[in-house]
Amino acid sequence: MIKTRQLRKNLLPQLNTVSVLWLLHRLTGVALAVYLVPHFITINDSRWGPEIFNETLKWFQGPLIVFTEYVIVLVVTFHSINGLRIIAMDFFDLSQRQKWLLGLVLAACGAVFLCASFWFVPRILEPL
Amino acid sequence: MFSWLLQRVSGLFLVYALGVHLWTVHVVDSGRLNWEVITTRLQDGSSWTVYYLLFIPAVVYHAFNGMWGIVLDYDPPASLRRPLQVVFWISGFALLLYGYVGIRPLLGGS
Repeated sequence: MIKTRQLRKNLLPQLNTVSVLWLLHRLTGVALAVYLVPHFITINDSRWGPEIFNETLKWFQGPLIVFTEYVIVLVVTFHSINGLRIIAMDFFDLSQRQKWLLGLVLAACGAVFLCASFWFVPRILEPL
Repeated sequence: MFSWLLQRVSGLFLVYALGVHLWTVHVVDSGRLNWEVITTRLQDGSSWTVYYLLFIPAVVYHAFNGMWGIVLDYDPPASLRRPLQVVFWISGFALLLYGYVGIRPLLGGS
């Protein structure tokens, strides 16, 4: 209860679009960094030749895996587009156009999310 | 300052490299990913070798440098900072080597 009150007092007033994007950038970054390890482990099965490698790749089918891949694509998309915003803010004087840039990030993410959804959702639902 | 710049340079490169990666894996080779398809594509000329030679260090550096930035935000004591930095560098180099070793057979190396 105290924690909730503290959270409301300390965290909520600081929440705005930029701070939410900052937090999301951090969370998606850590998630992608962690994901690198199992991804590299899978690819390393190539060292045991075509049969074992193909066996491993066969495991990467089915709706749950395709759904995970869909989520990874969304996470990479957000981290990339927001990263471009950070670079743009760092190198150009865009403080006057902050709102415009945020709109652009959200629009670009929305557009790619929509395309990715059209591509992935039927593939996730197909076997069901 | 150097790591700050390199994080942005690697990030820009990764926008391109991950775009290529996700597009080929999920769209071009969708539903038919196997040894034959992958090795045929990767061994068509040397461009994919150059691509992975840059892609793997870029992604490993960006990941480890990004996590190092988070560590620094928590302002660890000086006595902890150096050993942590060593752990990060060794793990990063290990993951880079592991990545190269894993992609090598697909690029046609024995």
